[in-house]
Amino acid sequence: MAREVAALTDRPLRQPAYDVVMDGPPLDGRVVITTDEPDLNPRFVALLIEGVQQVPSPYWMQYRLRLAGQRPINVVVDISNYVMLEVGQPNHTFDYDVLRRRADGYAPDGPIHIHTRLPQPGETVTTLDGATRKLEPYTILVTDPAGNLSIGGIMGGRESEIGTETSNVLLEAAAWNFINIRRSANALDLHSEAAYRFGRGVPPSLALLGAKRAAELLRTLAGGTVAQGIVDAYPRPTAPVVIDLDPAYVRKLSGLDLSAGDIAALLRRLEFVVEPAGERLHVTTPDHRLDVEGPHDLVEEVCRLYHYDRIPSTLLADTLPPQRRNVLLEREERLRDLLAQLGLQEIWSYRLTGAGREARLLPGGPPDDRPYVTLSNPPAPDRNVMRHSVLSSVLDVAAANSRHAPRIALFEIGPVYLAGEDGPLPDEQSRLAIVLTGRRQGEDWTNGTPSAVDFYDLKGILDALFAALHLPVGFEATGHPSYRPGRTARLLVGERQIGVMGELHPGVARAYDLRIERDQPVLAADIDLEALLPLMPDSYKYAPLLTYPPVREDLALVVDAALPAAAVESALRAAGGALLREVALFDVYQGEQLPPGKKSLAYHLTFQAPDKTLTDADVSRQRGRILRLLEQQLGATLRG
Amino acid sequence: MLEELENNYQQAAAALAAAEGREALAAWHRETLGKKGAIYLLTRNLGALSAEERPAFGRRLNEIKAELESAYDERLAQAEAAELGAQMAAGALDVSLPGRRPAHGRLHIITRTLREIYRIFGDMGFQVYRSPDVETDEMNFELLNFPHHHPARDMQDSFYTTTPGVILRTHTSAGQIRAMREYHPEPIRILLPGMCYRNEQVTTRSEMQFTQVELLAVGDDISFADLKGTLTEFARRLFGADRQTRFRASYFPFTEPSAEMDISCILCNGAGCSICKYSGWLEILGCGMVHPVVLRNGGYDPEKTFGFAAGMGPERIAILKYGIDDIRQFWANDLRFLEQF
Repeated sequence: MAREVAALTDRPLRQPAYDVVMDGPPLDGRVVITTDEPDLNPRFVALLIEGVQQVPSPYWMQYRLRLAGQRPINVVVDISNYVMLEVGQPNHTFDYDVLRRRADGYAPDGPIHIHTRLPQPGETVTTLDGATRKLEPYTILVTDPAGNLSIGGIMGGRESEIGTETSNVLLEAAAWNFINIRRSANALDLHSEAAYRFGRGVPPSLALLGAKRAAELLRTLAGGTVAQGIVDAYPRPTAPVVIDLDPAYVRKLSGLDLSAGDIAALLRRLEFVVEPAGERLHVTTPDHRLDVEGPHDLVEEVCRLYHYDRIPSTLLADTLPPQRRNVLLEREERLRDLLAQLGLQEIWSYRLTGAGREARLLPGGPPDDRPYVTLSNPPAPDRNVMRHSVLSSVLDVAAANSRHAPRIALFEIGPVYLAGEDGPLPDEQSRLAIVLTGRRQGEDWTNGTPSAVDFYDLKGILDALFAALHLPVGFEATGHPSYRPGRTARLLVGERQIGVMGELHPGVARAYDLRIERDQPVLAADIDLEALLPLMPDSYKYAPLLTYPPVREDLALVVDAALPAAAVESALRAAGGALLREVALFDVYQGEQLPPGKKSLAYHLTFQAPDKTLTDADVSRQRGRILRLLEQQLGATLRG
Repeated sequence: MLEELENNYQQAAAALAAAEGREALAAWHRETLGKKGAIYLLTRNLGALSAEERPAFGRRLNEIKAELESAYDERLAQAEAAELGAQMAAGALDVSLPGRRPAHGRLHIITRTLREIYRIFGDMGFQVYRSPDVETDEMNFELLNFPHHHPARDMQDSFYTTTPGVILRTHTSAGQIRAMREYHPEPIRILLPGMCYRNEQVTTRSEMQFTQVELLAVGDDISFADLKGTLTEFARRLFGADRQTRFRASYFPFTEPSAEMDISCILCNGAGCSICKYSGWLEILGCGMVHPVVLRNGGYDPEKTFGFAAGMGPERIAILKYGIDDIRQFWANDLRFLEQF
């Protein structure tokens, strides 16, 4: 922070003094350090301070610790914490006499041997908080021949802890691989201040500075004597990062017109050592900057110091890339527009659900056995999978709204997630779901309470939708466990099924807790957009308007009650040929005026020719042909 | 004779003036100018006139007939107008009564916000590229320069699936590598929209699922200045031409330099209010120059190719534009909320 302020304000940085007076007996031969894993534990520095007095730390230190949110404890712990905050180097204090006693058990008069290493299989450690912890194979331990002392960079051990009796302190300041510290701290669920700091990267150079600063404070504030010499295990000193920087790269990436000299001056404010090398700059990063790896990092430093707000704003002048259509998105958006125009409200719902929530769609049928994408850390037990059904999501939203809305007309277009065999990722397929229930329109003073929607309201919306898409879609009676038997249709484009629609099974409506009036139907459609979108025509032909007068004829046909109206209409159109321009059903009758098992369908037929005025003879010939063919094909008779 | 004619004329004119209403006028017409009317009857006596008198009488008779017809037409028009007026006056409505509202549908506020973003960036040559919600850890983190156990991963608590290495994407930046690998070595200008997921407590301010639009431009000649200009243009088109923007240094593993863009507060214009917490600025998106590691992972040479990326939240944009106070409303889909847009 102080460095940033110094650089941004272009003023000198004030640092603590790192000199230490060492006037005690030599340390040499008394402490030996071995580091097994220089990649995970690059540096380990130790200093010995003898004759430390157990006095309270000075008021200024206690005051500053409190400001930083730390509780003063005793002079040794306070100095250790203070140095961590001031220098940024977490450090550890051992009771030297405890270490000595432990060492005597193995090699009396031999040096204390501190050894950092990976654990043996199954090895555990008892930490300062009293817990015994199992270790991951990558977690570094600080040990002596008698056993474990601490978990490197994370937490100290119990036995060698500083007590009220401690007068001789062995001070440790080390460097640790930050990713390994994070992994270990997470695995152990130990989140100490030291682990937090080491987990974000502390440069090895700080270990020595931190150790010296702490030793000097123990000498001056706690009356200790610092043994002569420093034990510094640093087998592979980190080489300073030197970056070859092309000023043209800086100009291109930043958009700033800076000379090599300007760039050098900015970087020097951040303690980079910059040497011109021809057109280029050789930039040596200060060793506290672990985050600077390449030229792009230097551009960031330059931009930051130059100040982002002073960088100009320009519009892209680079080559325009090839412009590509996103046809599936365009078609989805077209569907959204059409459905909204047809009176439906679009929704976007939660895509996390539970298998049990979706099972409500299939009350009597076989369960959905397609595999789900399942979360290992779900936000709630019933939100643990990615949905298989958009309809289920829409029904939940319809149910929530049914408590207050008299008319519900909803749709959602979105993905479902089918965990599949092709690789680890699921097949994300687009679906359209529609739910319609309640009143046909809002109640108002002119019409009282409007009637409830029924099957043909949804059918009409779909008819209008497919007409607008210029895509002929057939509706064929079918059965489906989610829908009411006899009121369910599958949607067909040619032979291809693109979806199912109908009146929801009353059991399903109940399972979703739809608060609807008695006997009021819930209509639903579930359409597979993976099937529909590719079939949507991009263009279609305009039909010229005819100028010769049309002739209108009414025709009421009696057919078997079970015969689908669509079969009659398509037979009519086929028989009527090109002259039959429109077929509009205006009445369906079934009752006492007809024989049982029969129904009457009454149509307005419009005949029109592109090139002449039709005569009565023309029309009656057409009509006769229609009647003859429909009788042959469907057993239809003219209603008398 | 002539005297009688003039007399009848005077009487007829007086009767016309006295007749009120269309029926009275029609009766007057019948009685005066009809086949048995007073004027017509006089013509039967033409034979009693001398040859010299006849032309003068005939002329006068025709004059009188024409005058009466025209006076009648005028009176009739007046009567009709009066009648229509009375009829309309009787049909006056209470214009303050509510009208019959057709049931009409709407697009979700997020669809509308996304389209606005697509439109503005579309004008600058950016096109929509979609990538999956369920992603590999590799695409979402690793190839974007977030190594395993990297502290930057802490900012984005992920949902993990039971398939190792598969997560729910935490940002749509996850699609960057897919797009680069598909399009390299061509330049790129794309928008990556979609749903993202983070394992966060659901509150009025945070959601476990949210939409994001990532902007990505890659090419030979793209600078931080272009990033600033493009995003400032976007902010002005979305929030008004007088919007000021501010860029602050930030950190994202997949961009360098990285920045946060603020816009001058849309409510107080920078004067300070409760929306901007009296700072005058609103945080709107994160952005930066594509990190060389990411460019390389995407198949581009980072020494010759440059790029910028930005990530924005449509919910955040809608919240600011409409003053929405609870982010949970977006997916709760209460009609009383949706129908306000």
